[in-house]
Amino acid sequence: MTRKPLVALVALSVGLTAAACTDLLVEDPQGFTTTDTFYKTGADLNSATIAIYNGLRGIQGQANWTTPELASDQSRADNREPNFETKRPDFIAWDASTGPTGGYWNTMYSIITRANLVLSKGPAIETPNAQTKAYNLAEAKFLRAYAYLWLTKVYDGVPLLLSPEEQADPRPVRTPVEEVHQAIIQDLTEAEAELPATWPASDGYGNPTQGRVTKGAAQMALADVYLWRSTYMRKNEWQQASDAAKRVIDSGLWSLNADYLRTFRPSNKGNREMIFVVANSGVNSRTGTIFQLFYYPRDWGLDRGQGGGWGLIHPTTWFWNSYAAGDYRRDGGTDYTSNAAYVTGGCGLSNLCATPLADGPMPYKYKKSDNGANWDISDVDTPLYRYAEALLFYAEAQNELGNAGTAITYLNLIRARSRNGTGTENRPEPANYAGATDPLSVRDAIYMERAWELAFEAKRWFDLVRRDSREPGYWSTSLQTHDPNSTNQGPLATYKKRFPIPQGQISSNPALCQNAGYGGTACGSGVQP
Amino acid sequence: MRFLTTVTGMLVMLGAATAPCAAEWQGDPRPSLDDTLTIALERVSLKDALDEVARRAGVRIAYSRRVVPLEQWVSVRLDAVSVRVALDQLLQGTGAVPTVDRTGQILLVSDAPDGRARRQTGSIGGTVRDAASGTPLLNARVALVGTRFSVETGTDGQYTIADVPPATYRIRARLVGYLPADASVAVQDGQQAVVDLALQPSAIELNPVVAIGYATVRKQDLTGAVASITADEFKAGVAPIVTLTTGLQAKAAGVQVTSNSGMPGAGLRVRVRGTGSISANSEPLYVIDGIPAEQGTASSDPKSNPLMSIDVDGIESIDVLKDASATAIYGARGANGVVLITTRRGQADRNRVTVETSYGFQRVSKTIPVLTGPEFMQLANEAAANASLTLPYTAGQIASAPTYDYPSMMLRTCDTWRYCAAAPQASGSLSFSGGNQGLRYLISGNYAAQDGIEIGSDFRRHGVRLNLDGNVSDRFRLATSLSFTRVTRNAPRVENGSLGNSANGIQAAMQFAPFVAPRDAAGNWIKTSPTTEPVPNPIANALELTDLNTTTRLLGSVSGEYDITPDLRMKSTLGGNFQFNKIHFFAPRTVLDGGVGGAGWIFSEEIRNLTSENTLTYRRALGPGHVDLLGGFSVQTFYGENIRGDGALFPTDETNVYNLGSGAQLLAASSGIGESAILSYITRANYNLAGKYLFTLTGRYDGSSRFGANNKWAFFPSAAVAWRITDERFMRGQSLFSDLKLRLSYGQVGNQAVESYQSLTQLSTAFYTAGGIEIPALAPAARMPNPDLRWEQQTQFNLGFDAAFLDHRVTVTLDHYRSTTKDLLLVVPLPSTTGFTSQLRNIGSVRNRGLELSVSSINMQRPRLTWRSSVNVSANRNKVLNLGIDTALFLAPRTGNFFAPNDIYIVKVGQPLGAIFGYAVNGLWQSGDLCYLTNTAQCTPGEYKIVDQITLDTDGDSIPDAPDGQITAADRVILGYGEPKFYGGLSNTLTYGPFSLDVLLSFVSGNKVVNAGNAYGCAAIGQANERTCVRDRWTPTNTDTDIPRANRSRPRRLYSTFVEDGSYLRLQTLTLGYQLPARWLWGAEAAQLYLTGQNLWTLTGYSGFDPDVNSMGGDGRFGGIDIGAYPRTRTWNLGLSLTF
Repeated sequence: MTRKPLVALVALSVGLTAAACTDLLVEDPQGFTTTDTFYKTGADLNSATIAIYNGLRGIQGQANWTTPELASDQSRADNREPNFETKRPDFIAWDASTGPTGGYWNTMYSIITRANLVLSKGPAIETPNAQTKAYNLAEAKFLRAYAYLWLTKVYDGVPLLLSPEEQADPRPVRTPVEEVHQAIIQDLTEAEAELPATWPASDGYGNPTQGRVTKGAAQMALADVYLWRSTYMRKNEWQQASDAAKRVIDSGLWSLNADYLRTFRPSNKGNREMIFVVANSGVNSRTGTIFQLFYYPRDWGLDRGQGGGWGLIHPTTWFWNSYAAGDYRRDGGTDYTSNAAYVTGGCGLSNLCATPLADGPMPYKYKKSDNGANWDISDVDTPLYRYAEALLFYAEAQNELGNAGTAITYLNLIRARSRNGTGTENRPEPANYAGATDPLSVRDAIYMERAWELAFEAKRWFDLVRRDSREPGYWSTSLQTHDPNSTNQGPLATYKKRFPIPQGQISSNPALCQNAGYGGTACGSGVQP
Repeated sequence: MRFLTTVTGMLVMLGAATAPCAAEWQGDPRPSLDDTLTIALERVSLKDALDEVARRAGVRIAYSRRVVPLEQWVSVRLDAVSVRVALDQLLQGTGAVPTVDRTGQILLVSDAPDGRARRQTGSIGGTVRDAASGTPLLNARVALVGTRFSVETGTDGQYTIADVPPATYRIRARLVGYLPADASVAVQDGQQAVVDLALQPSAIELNPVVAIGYATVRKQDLTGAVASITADEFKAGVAPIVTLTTGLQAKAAGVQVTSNSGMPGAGLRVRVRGTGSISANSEPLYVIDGIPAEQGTASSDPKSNPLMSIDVDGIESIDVLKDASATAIYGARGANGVVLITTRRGQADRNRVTVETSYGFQRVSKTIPVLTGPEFMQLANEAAANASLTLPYTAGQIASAPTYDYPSMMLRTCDTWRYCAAAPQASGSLSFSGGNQGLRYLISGNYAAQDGIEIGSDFRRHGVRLNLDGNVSDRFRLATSLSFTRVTRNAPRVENGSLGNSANGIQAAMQFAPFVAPRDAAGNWIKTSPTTEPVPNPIANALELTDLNTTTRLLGSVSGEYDITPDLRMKSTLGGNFQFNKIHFFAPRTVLDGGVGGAGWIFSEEIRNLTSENTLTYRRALGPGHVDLLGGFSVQTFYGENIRGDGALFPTDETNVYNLGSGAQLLAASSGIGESAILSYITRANYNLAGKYLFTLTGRYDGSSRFGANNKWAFFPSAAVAWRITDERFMRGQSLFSDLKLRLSYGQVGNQAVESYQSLTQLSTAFYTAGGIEIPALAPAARMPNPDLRWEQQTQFNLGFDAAFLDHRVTVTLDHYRSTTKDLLLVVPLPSTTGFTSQLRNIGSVRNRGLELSVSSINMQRPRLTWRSSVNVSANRNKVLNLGIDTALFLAPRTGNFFAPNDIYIVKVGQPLGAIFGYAVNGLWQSGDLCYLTNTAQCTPGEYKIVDQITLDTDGDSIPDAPDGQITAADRVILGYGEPKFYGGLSNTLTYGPFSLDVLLSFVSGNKVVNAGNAYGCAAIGQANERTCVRDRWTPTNTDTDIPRANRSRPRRLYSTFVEDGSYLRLQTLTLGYQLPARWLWGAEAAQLYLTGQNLWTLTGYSGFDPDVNSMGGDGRFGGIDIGAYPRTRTWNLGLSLTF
C-alpha cells in the first residue's frame, strides 16, 4: 500500500524525463518562415523579388517624400503646422542627427539588400519558369540601380555593395560617386536588355503584374542618371541621356494621357503614361500610405477620417503665380469632388468648409477614390517616372546637344497636352514656346516646364541642385527669391545642397565619412565630386 | 551611536521592569554583577586588575589561584560597563567565570566541569513555552549566561541542565523568531531548580525558516544573501496592496522598486542588486509556492504589469534570493534575483474564519497648474512674433478668451467637499482555514478595486484560493496550491503616451488649448486641440473610448512527497500557470481614433507554462556535522498564442467592438505563436558543522530552447561558506554580540530572458500590390540572425555578516557584493548597409557593485508598549564595462521625435546604464554676452545658452581641442544618471495597549529624472498649452530667469534644464490600528480597526507630479523618465480585520 505512491511518483518522473529527452530544446517556429526553408524554388524567387518592391514603399514615407518637396522653392509648409521637426526641410534646417534627410539610407539599403539576395540566390535556382526567373533577376538589377541612384542624388558616394557577401562587412567605406554611377549604369543597361517591354497579365505565379518594372523604366532611369551626371557632375553624357529617353519615346508603348489629371487617378491605374510608380492598393494600410495627408487640406479636418489631411505642402507664392493664366495644371477646384490640380477652398468630405483655404491653395492632383475618408489608406500610386518626363528628358538633352529646335518640339508636346485640359478642351495657355532659342533660354523653359508638369513629384529640389553645378548660385538664388521660408533659420549655406549622412549610421559604422559642412570625418577624394 | 545608547538605556529600564519577577530572592542584596563601573588599565597583573574592579564597584571578589592565573598581564579600557562585562573581559580565555554566592560575594569559579567528587552540583529544569499561546517550544536554546551550560528543549518544550555548580545564575532561553527571555535562578547542592520560561514572539524574526528554492532553512543556517519579508511587513500593517511589487518597495535592502506611474495596476520596475543586463529582461523571477510563475516584464510600456494578476491576499512570506549562492538553484534564470512567494496554509486544529475589509479614497497628491486661455494665447503670439511668424491670435480673441481647466477635468476631483472620496478604493477577503492532522485547508476569496484618479481608468481584481495539505500516511503527503484571479482594468489612453500630438491622459490635458470647451456648441466632442499641436481630446478619450484589459490567471500546483527512508525523501510537483489576456479597444466615431464610423479591435492571448519539478533530498550525519543533499530535475514548457481582429466603419457605435463583422472596412486579422522550454538538473549540498561552519554547494545545469544550436546547455555553479563566530569558544565570554555570522559566496548564474526564435534566420512578410490586390512576399527580417546566441552569464561575489546585539534586540545585516554580467544579450545596431538594422549578440559586460545594510531593533518592549524599528539602505554602482562594439548605443525613449535628436539616453563604456544625453545649458543668453556661436541669431537674448563643447580638432592630432562655434548633435553630453546613489526604507512599529502605529518612510537619493513633459510644458515654445512656469519666461524686462523667451521655432532638444534631481523622502505608509476590546467581539477571536494613509508626504525638489516615476517601464537601458506620467494619489483607507 505504502509503495503505491512511490511507484506513481517514480513512473511520473521517468515519464517526464523521457518526454524531456525528446526535442523540447529544438525550436520549431510555426508563426514564420526561416531562410533555411526559403529561396529554393522559382516561386520563392518571385516572392523575394516582390519583396524588393515592398522596400520601394519607403520612398513615399513622410521624411523621404516631404523633404525634397518642402526643401525646394516650389513648395512650403503650411503656416499652421505646429511641429518644428515637420517644417525643418522647408527651413533648410537639418543636420546629421535630425530625421528628415536621413531616411533614404535605410530605405535604399533595404531595397539593395533584397535585390542582392535575389541576384545571389537566383542564378542557382532551378525552375521550369525560366522566363520569370530572368525577369526577376532583371527587376532586381533595376531596383538596386534605382536605389543607388537615389542615394547618390542625395548623398553623393555611398558604400557600393553588390552582393550579400559584400554587405556582410560591418565597416564599409563610401565608394567614390563615379564608381557607384558606373555600377548603376551597368545594372540599368543589363536590366534594360533583360526586362520585358510589357509584362504578361500574370507573372507566372498567379500574381497580376501591373506596376512591375519594364524596359521603359530602365530606360528612364538611364536617362535620369546620364542627365544627373551631365549637369551635377558636369560630364558630357547628354547623348547617352538623349538616347535613353528616345528609346522610351520610340518604343511606342508609352504615351501622354489626354487628360493630365487622369494620369494620377486610381481609376486609371496602369495607364500608359505611368512608367514607374510606387503602387498603393487602397485596401489596407499594409499597401496604403499616408501620402495624401501631405496634400489634403487641414481645413477639411485635420483629424482622422474627416476627409482632410495634414495639409502640409502648399505651392510657394512664386510658384503659384508662375503658371500661365488658364493653365489646366493650375486650375483650382472648389470642393473635395473637384477634378482639378489644386483646390482653393470649399468643403471636405465631412462638410468642414473653408473658402478660401486659410493658408492658400493645396495641390489636389493626388485625389483618392475615398476622397480622404480613410486616414492611412490611399489608392493613389506615387509617380516616380512618367512618360511626360521622358519627353522633358529628351528635350533637355537635345537642347544641351545644341538642338534647341528638337527640344522645343518635345517641350511643346507637354504644353499641348495641358491645353487639352480634360482632353477635349482647347485652351489658349500654356502656349507653345516662343521665346529665344539660345541654350540658356530653352534650358530655363524646360526647367520651368518640369516644375509645372512634375509639380509635387519630388523632382524640383534635384533640379535646383544639379543645375547649381553648372550655374553656381542657381540653387541659393532660387530658394532665396522664391521661398522666403528657406532663410527662416538663417542664411543659406551652400553645403546644404547635399544631405548629411545620418548620424546613426556613422555611429554604427565610424568608417563612414561625412559630407562637407556637417562636421565629422571628412571624405577622401571622389566620394563627393 | 546615540541610537545604541538609547537602546541600552531602554534595556536597563526593561531590566528594572522585569525585576519583580525575581521576588523569591527578594531578601538578597542587589546582584553585584550588574553594578556599573569605568575602568582603564594598561598592562597590569590580573590580580591587580581584579582588585581594582572590586575597589571601584565596591564589591567583594573571591578567587582561587588554582582557578585564576593571577600573574597574567591584562589591559582593558571599559566605559560604564557592568561588573559582569568587566570580569568577562578580564577573564576571557582563562577558563574562569564569575558567579555570585548567596552573600552577594562574587566568586570566580572554573568554567570546566571537573567532575571531581568534592564539587557538589545541582540541576535546572523546566519548560519553554510560547508566551501568547502557551504552546511548548521545540529546539529553544536554554543557557546559563556566562557559562558553558547550554541545552536545547525537546519536543515537549522541556529541558534539563545537569551538573551545575551551586550559585545564582541568570538563565536565558532563545529561539529564532522569539525574543530571548531571562530569569534568575539559584542552584543548590543536589537539588533541581525549576524555571519555566515564556518567549514573546519577535516581530523581527517571526519567520524562523527562510525559503531558498526547493527547500527551506532556518535563517541562522543560511549561507547566502536572502532578504525576507513577512506578511506583516509586506502590508506595512494592513495597507491595501494592489500589486505584489508595490508591497516590496522600500522593504528589503538591495531590492529597488520604482513605480512606472500612478495608474492603478501600473507596473513597477524591480531591480535586485542593480541592472545586470541591457537588452534582456532584468526583472527578477517570481516563484510562487515552488512554481516559477512569472518574470517581471522588460516592456517599455509603463502599463504592462504581468504581476497585477497575482493575488497578494494569501501571501505568508516573501524571500528575495540575492547572491549567486542563493540564486544558482534557479540557474539560467537566477541572474536578476529570485522572489520566492509562500502563501498561507491551513494549520491543524486551528479552525479560523478571517474577514478583512477596507474602504478608502484617493486624492491627487500634487497638481501642476497650466496657463489660462488668454495667457496661452499671449504666449503663442509672443512665440510666433519672436520666430517671425504670423500671430495666431488677435487682441480681441485674447481679450475675450475663456479658460477651461483641462487638467482638472482629467482628474477625479470633487469641489464640494474637501475630503470627499475623489477616487474610491476598496478591498476585502474572506478566508477559512484549519483542518486536522490528516487534512489541512485554506480557502479564501478576495477582491481589490481601485478607481484611477484620471477619469475613465480603474482596476479590479477578484480571486479565490484553495490550499490543501494532506497526510495520506506517515510517509506520504500531498499538497495543492491553487489560485484563480481575474483582473479587469480600464485604461483609455490615460498612460503610455508620448508628447505633443501623441500625448495621452494628463499630459494631453496639460497641452490642450485652454480657450476651447471640450465640446462644441452642438454638444459634440472637439476631437483635437485646435490651432495648437493637434493632441486628441483627452477628456473625450477617457469618457468615450473602451480600452478594457482583462487577465485571467490560474496558478497552481499539486505535489506529493514520499519518505523513502526517514532520511531520504522524494518530492514531485506538477504545476501550471494558465493565463488568458484580452484587450477590447473601441473608439466610437465621436472621438478622433473612431474616424468616420468607429474603429476597434479585440486582442486575445492564451499563455500556459507547465512545470514539473522532481527532487530527492537526503539528510544524515556525516563526520562531526550534518549533510543535506538535494538533487532533482525540472522541465518547464511555455506556450503562447494570440489573435487580433480589427474592424472599422461600423453602422453604429452601439455595438462597440462586439460585432466586428458589421464593419465595412476590411482589416486583416493577425495571429502569432511562441513556444519554448527549459530543462534543468538541480543539485545542492549543505554541510553544517556544529552550527558553526556552514557550507553550501549549488549547481544547476540548464538547457533552453531559446538559444543557438551550439549553446543550448550551460552549468551554473556556486559555493558559499558561513561561519558563526559567536559559537566559537573565544566569543563565549563576550556579551556584545548575541549572534555573529560571516557569509562568503561566489558563483555563476544566467539570464535567458529573451524572446524565442532569436537565433533563427527569420523572414518577415512584405506586401506589395498590383491591380488592387495585395501580394504577400517574404523578405529577411530587419534583425540579423545569430546562431551562436547563448546565455548572459553573471558572476557574483558576496561578503556579508549577520549580527545580533543586546540579546537580539538589534540585528544587523551588512552585505557587499560585486557582480559582473558578461556575454550580454545586446541588440546591436548594425549599419543599414549590412541589410539588417540590428542583431542580438552576446557581447559586452556590465558590473554592479554595492552595499546593503539592514538594521532592525526592538527599541522598547514592555507589556503594553512596544516599539520596533527597521531600516534598510542600499547603494549600487552600475558600470558598463564593455559593449563589444567600438561605439556607444544611442537610445530614444517613447518621446520619439519630440526631442531632436530623439536619442536622449546613451549606453557607453565606463558609464552606468540610464545615462541621460543632451545639451548642457548654462543659463540664458543676455544682451551684452559675448556670442561664441557662428550663427549669432542663436545668441538672441532669452535663448538657451547651450554650451558649445570642444568637438573640433584644429591641430590634427585627432583629439578635439576647440569648440566649433556651432550647436550640433556633437555638443551633447551626459547630463546625469537614472541610478540613485542610495535608496532604502525606514519603518517603525509602535504598539500601545490596543493601539498600533506603523510608519514606513522610503527614500531615494542622487538620481536624475528627465522631466520630458517640460519639453512641452516649460519650454516657452507656445505650440501647445504650457505649465505656469512659463509665466516667468525671459522678456527684456524679466531677464533673471531660467525659462527662455517665447519662441515658436526653438528646437525641442533635451536641454539640461529638463533633467531634474529625483531624490525624495516619502512618508509611504502610516497605519493606525486599534484592537477592539474582547467584550465587543460577539465571539470573535480578534478584531482590529485601522486607518491607513499612503503617500502622505514627500520631500523632493522634483517639479513633475512625482519623482518615483519611470515611463519606460522595465526597459533597463533607460533611467527614470517622466513622459507625462499618470499622477500619484494620496490615499486614506479605513479597514477592519476580524478573526473567528
